[in-house]
Amino acid sequence: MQTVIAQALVDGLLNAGIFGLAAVGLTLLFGVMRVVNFAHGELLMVGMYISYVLFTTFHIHPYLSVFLVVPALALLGVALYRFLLRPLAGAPESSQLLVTLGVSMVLQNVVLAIFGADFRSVMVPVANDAFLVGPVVLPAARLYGFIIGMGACLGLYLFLRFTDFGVVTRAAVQDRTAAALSGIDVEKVLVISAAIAVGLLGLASAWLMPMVYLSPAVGHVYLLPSFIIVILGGMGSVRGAIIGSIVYGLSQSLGAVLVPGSLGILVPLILFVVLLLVRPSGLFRGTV
Amino acid sequence: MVARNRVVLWVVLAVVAIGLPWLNNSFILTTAIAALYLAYQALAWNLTGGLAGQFSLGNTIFIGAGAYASTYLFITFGVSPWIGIWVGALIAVMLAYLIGLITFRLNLRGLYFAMVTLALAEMAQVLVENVPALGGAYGLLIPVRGTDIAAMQFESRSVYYYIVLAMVVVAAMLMTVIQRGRVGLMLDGLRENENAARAVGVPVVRNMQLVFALSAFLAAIGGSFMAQYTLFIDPKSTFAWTEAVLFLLPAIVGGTRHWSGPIIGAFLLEVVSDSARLAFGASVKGLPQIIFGIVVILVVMRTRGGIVEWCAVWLRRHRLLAAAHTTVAEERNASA
Repeated sequence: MQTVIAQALVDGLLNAGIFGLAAVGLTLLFGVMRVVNFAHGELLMVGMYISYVLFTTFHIHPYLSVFLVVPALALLGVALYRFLLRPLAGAPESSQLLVTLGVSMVLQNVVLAIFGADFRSVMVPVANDAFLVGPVVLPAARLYGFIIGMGACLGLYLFLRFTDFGVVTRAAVQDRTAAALSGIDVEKVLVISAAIAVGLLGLASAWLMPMVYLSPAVGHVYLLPSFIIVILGGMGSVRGAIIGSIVYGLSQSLGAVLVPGSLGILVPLILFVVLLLVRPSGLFRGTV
Repeated sequence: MVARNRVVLWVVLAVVAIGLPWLNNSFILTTAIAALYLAYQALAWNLTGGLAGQFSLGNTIFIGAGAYASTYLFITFGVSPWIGIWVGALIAVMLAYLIGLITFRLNLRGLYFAMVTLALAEMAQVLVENVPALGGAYGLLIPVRGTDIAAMQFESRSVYYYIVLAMVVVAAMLMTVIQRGRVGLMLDGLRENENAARAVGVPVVRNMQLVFALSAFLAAIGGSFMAQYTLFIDPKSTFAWTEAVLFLLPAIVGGTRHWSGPIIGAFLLEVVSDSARLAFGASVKGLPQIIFGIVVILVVMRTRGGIVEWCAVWLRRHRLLAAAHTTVAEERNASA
């Protein structure tokens, strides 16, 4: 039993890296433009299909495909902002919710129309590698995903905390008008934020490839967890999203081994609802 | 003149609606039932989503409550669905009361409300999947009885058509009654500015709970109806969040401020997706959803208030312009 729990703790922690990548982008988008992006899961899914096509046609290893997938998704993020979200600035928040819902429907079903609903996966050696630490198994793909994911999240946190651009971004988050009045190019901040937020999904998708079966519906698997993590950590807080992803990952993996049947999935959901009721502002407040 | 036009419009609508089954075209009838059901669920959603401005992504909980209550009671105890429907509706109202009690009272609004209801729908799916009596993940099959009025089964589709037509009429009337009454005014107030409404004494939470419970009531009855129509229910397709999204689209596309909005939206989406299916066949999977998505984006970006409001604004402008033209012409005649 101890081994099982130790294994669950490790699994939960390792999953947190990828969840973190998705959640950090979501929280950044919310922070800078007050948009809750319902297309976030589908953008991740699109990144995975790009990575898949690069692997099947050009035999590019998923880990190397980040150099193409990240720019491609960053571009998608900028397009999403430029053509759909910017024109809606100042509209009620339901408008942004609906537009991103529309985008998610279009993306999911365009991929469905092109690739069909079959499950796909890439066969790379790393998918079967594992390290053994005592009785606990560390699957290599998950370990790399964790290192890259957590590394990127921490990098973004430090970037927003200590660079000039970070200060400018945080200023724009706190008060857009005041930031603009003190000479900050808010427009540039928003474009770059959109590129970073969606670009991080490109990173996540490449690192997810060896671990998951790909289907047009895979995005939804990551959408609700990302929302939960963002709210756990406090909407707009990057630090909160990092902590939140660890909490979520652990609650998910521990729930799966400690609660019978598929009822374990309920653990993170209950955690989420209870936290919302007790502390709707999340664990952390503030912009970073 | 305007009043006579309106009467003519109503008569034409009633004749078309009642006479449709006499066309004896099963494709048209099936499409009409699908569109009417979509319109009905959109009207149910619109009570909370449109009138109170709170986007529920968890109406599938209530639809599921209705579908599972009537089906379970019928299969296990032989209780007629005509009774089971009301049991399901009652359960849905209680669930809505509980959910509303916590969310509305704790000031979870807008995006927070949407996400809590989304998470609760996901929880409902997991729970039902783990209850063997409810068929678990496989779902429940309703035994086919042919035409059996007590079992709410009819071989002729036109009976289902008339039932769902009546449901749409009742839902539209209910929405209008609420909107024109005292509650409607209070809802307008709290939707536009909750703090101001609260300050002048509007019981915000009670009003939100009221419309949420009514919305759940209607949704559950719809769920029972659909279960009787398809004779099969399963957790995955009942509680899928794509379903919850599907039922709010017609209200958004058509408009949330007038009963005709969700209905026009539903028929538009249904006709567009069916013609796409006819034109391209099943070769392009997901095409209707792609079109739905594009329509939603366009409507939100271009019209803001939905098609009905957009038409109303256009008509008003048209009339004003016409009036202005006549005045100018009269003045010119007078001076000449």
